[in-house]
Amino acid sequence: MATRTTPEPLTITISEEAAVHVKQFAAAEGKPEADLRVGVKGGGCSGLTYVLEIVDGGPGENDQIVEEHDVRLYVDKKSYIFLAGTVLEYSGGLNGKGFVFNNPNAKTTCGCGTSFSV
Amino acid sequence: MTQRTGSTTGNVAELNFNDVLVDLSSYLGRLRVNGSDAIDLLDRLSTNRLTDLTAPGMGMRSVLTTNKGRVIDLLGIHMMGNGILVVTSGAALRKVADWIEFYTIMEDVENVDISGNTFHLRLIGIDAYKRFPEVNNITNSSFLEIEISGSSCTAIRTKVGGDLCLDIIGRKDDEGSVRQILLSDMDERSLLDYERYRISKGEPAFGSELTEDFNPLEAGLIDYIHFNKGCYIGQEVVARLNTYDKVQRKLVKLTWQGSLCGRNLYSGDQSAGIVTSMANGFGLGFVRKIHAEPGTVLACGEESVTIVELSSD
Repeated sequence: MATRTTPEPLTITISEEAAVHVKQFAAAEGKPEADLRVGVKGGGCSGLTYVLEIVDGGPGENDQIVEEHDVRLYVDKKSYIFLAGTVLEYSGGLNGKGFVFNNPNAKTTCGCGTSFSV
Repeated sequence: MTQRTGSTTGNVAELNFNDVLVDLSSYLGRLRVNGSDAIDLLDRLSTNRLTDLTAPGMGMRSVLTTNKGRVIDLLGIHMMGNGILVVTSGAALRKVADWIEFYTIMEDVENVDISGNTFHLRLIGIDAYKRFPEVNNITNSSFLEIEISGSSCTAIRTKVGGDLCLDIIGRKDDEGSVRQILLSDMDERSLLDYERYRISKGEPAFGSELTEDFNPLEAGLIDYIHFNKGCYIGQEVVARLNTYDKVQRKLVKLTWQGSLCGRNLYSGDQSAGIVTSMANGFGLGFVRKIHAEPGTVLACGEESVTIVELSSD
């Protein structure tokens, strides 16, 4: 008899390497206990632009909270719609771009990679 | 795409559009955009550098574009003391409001349709303009708060083609008394007459020239594009079109003798463009750049259509 599995709800995840860099940036800003706000705002060449911000005030009323690799991500509910399923990674090396959003909802991205459309 | 048709009688020269008033209350829409992030969001959604609007009374026009660099609408953005007045095309109001709403994600922004609570009169021509000499000292799209018949109104300096105009916006309740004062020594023209007038001036309109079929460079809106402002929706496409001279079509003024059946323009058997607005014997259209020279004669069905001038000239 075939078993049916319930799909995992789409969430936002952060890679271990990205989490390390978040903690490094937080420490450099003098906020080693700070968290990361991940979001989306209107604008940019393709329509939507990613937002990353080190924050130390705790989550907002409408935030989803994701905790992984000792980093807490705060995502407001409207941004979450555009980011569900996204893996936040860090691309280092000579051709590295820093933080990279691997967003399955993005249909197109602009040249600089910070703007996308859904 | 709508093909606009103006009055079928008379010609451009017969219309005296100096010192006249036109009621644009339904032809244009008015949104109040409030919130601490309002100007920043509008800047990220449209072509002009709206962050230069730093004080009440300042204003500029800016084009709302899709991520493919196509025109949604041409907006008037006016910095009020307690929010931003956004003037849209009347038929585009809902589309513009929905567009702003869709892209309001983390921002402190709220937009309110105030079209029904306000009137919008346009005074056209230098003589109309002389009634309010204080407006001489401000730049296009900037505005002053003035009093007419005891009613507080917003007077926005604007232009249609090369003609100076003054847009008077006020509370709907005050419309009667304001109109009475203004019409005591100036004539009123209908929207149909205004449609012929704006076509004769090469002024693009929503649904005809301002559509997602065209980009702002084709539509002659380069004055409302800031090429160094940074990202906005459609910026990459618009910048590439300009930098690599890839604009394929131009908005032009056209004339013809009879009446046109259809709107496709041909040069020999090759497609050369399209007529987008028509009045009696003249109109506007987009033609391929290689044909966009004054004096060029194209065919539209059996009729010969002559390019009079480029709309942005």
